[in-house]
Amino acid sequence: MIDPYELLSVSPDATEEQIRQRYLALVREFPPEQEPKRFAEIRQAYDQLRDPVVSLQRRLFNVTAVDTFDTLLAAERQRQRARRLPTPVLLSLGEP
Amino acid sequence: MSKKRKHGGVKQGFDPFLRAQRELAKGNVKDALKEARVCFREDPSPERRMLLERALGARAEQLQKAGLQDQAKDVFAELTRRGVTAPEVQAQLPRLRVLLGLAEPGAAGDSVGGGEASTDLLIELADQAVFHPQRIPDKYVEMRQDCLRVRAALEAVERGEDARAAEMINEIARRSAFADWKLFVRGLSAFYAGEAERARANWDRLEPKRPAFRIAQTLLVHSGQLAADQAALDVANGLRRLEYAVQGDPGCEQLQLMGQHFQANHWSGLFHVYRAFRQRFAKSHEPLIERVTDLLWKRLVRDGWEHGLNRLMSMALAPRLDPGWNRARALMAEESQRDGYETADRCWRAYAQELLSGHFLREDERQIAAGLVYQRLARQLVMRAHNEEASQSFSPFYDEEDEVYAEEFRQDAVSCYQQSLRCAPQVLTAYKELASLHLEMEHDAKAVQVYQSLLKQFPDDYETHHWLANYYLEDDQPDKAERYANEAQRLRPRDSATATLLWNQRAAMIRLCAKKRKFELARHECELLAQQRPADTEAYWLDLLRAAVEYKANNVQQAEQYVAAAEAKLPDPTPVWMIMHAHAARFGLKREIKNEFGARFKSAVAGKCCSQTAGQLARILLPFVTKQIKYTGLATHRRLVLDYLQRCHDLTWQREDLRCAVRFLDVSDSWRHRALRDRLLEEGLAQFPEEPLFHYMAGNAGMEAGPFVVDIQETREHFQAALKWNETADVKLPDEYVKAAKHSLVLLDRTQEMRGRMGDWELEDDEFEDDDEYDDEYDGEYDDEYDGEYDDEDEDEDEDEDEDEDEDEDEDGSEFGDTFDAADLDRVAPPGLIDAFKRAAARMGISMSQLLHRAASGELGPEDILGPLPSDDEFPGPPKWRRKHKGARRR
Repeated sequence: MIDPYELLSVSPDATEEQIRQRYLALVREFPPEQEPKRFAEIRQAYDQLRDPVVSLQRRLFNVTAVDTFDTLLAAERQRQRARRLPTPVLLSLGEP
Repeated sequence: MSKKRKHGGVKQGFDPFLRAQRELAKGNVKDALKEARVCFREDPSPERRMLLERALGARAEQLQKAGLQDQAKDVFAELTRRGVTAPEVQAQLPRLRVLLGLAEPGAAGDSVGGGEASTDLLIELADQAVFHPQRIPDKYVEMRQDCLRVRAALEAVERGEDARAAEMINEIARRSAFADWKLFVRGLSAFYAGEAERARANWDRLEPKRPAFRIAQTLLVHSGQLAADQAALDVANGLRRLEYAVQGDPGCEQLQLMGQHFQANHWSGLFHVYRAFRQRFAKSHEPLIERVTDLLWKRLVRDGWEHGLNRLMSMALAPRLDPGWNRARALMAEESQRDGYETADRCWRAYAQELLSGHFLREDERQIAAGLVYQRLARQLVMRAHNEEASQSFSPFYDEEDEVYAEEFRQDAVSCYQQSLRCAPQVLTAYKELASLHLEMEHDAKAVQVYQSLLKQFPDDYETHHWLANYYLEDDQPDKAERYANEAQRLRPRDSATATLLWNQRAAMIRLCAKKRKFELARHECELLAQQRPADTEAYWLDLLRAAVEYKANNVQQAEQYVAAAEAKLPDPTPVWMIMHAHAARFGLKREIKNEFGARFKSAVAGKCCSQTAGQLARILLPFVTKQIKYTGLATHRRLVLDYLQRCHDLTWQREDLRCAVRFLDVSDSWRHRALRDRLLEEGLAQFPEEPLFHYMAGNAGMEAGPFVVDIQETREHFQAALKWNETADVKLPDEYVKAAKHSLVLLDRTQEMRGRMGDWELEDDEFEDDDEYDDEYDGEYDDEYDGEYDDEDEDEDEDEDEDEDEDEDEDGSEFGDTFDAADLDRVAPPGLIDAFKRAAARMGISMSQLLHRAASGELGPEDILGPLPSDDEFPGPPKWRRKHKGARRR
């Protein structure tokens, strides 16, 4: 049985809204009338993830880490890039 | 080389005037001034004076740009004191006055220096002031105020206080030298807020030569909103500075370092960096620290390194979902297999309480989470019970208390499941596991209650409906089974198991209706049954059901027609007579009818054997025997069928018939029947080598020999063949057989491991091979039993009495100890073990035989003989090279 998180390509830490958005995106990509089998799999995975029992089961007992240090580092760098620069750093950009 | 040549051409360089000029041209203003002073002192010519003035002017400007206002003023004062003769220096004086704050404020009070300062100079001063506010002379009040406003606004934007920043710069006049910075700040707020259009609208109005424009261009290129080649100026340096600010972020650096330690499994270094990281960034990087902690504790649990987890717990904040670290400890205890289950038990219970009383989950999640924890706890307890029982099979040191432990674990597991369901009644698996546990404990009624509770929460659970229907059918309550069977049909109308279930239920209802003399209803049910006969039922069975109904209704003629119809469908009517004899008992038909069919059966079953009849007879009786559904005459039927099968020598078996026959024989506890089963299995394997059922049963037969005698290789091959052939078989093994086969393979591996440690204990086993005894016992016995038996409707007399004969042979225990002594030990045990036993016997002052006897009875345990097992303190270090103790008994 395929892992529902893998099938929907969402992180186990994803919020309900994120899972829903991803599900909708996949449904647009694999509509039921054109890809019935794939849609059924997607729907089943989505139902599983919406199930609070399944979701909690993973959050509580899963010992497979979601992150690696590489992903944490990449995320932190992205955050740094997106953050508001300290004023000295900002002004240093004005020097040729 | 002469000094002259060495210093060739130096004579000219010694001229301070020339040197001063050269240094001034190169921009080394400080050195140029020094040389200029020297040469002017030597020769105060006009030329040298002008050089000195140029050097002083340049130096004053240089010092001003470096922020050294006071020193710049001193130099400027020296310049003006000497008087300025050089035209270019004269032109520079007003600018220097302004930059040094020596110019007077304008009459209008809104610009610096009035006519003395040009617009460009003011702009330059303003831009310098933003970068270095301290350089603004105090008397330039307005400029200072605007500069401070711009700086404060920039810092407010940095903090995210965009509204406040907008207020701060609102008062900057449009004509102010800081107006450009006002546009920049507005654009910056929009940029950070993601309002690209508004940002561009402000920044497109910036002066291209001023630093604000450069900053804006750099930000746009960095964010991808502007291509680098489309930027109005070269922003490469700025981009590098930005990336350096990101890369050089100390948080990222430490994260990278931790990653390297993690990869190298260098935990001491990792903990060192982690501790520092957490202390330094506790407030600014809280979510990141939580993710790192999560990563670390999960890795430690996977590796089973308890010491590492303890270290982490001492330096890290507990995860949000595990405020007391109980979950991590419980998972570690489960994973490490060292502490046993007690730690896990304690920690899970504590965690469940935390879940119920804490606020780190949403309210609707708390109960479910606690329910899941109790369910996990219950599973652990069930596993412990199974392990205790399994260890009894393999341990040469029998401990009677193990049985008590197993039962206690099960009771605890029941409590935990009940607790789980109280917390979270929406956990379907908890219901099913609890029901299975009750069945394991032979508390069928409780299992029924659980299943009925399940249906209240999950009314469309097919398996539960199916199970309850079968349960009531086996309990001979077809009326209670009806609604569950109908629900099963509603849920899975095309399932073959549903069709069989409905058939059985309807057949039972027919019998019930007939017994209650509701014959029309019974006939109607027969019609319905005819319309939905499953593939695995025989057509003549319905004829015989109809016959039974008609006999019960005293329509003998009609009944006989149905019997004839059934008879016509078979080459050998023996199964017909057996079924009718059974129906006679179960429908409560008249004695003469019952005796008639009994006699027919007795006569027919003693006749020549054939595959179809053997298969039919076994197939008919199998459900009665497996489900323990009794009727008067069952024991006799069973005995006669066994005799029939016994006489099936040199038969050309059909596959399905042989399948039924061996399954029927497999149910019996008698070793004689098992011997017959084994013989038929051999024939089956020879004739149908790709039949998975025969391999499966041959494997089971091998397992029956017990852990000390089983032929591991052969038995393993049978199970593997069963699983392999099952994939392509037309008639597949039931799921429980597949599961059991896989479990047996695991058990065989354990057996092999145990044997490797204990040595092979060969037993003399010649007590179970004698089949001749079986035949001798049965000759002539059946005639005596059958006479008059059919007249007796008392069920008690029809219990399987022949099984009592088998029990005695198992009670003398001859295979397990009495014939085993020290001489045998020398023959089968490894020398190291023998020495250990001898030492223990000498220590206790007893003989080897006495020692073995006490060990076998449980009086002595492994540690009494072999000494204490080494503790884990002797094996420190990271998990990659740490030995795990397997096989130690868990308590």
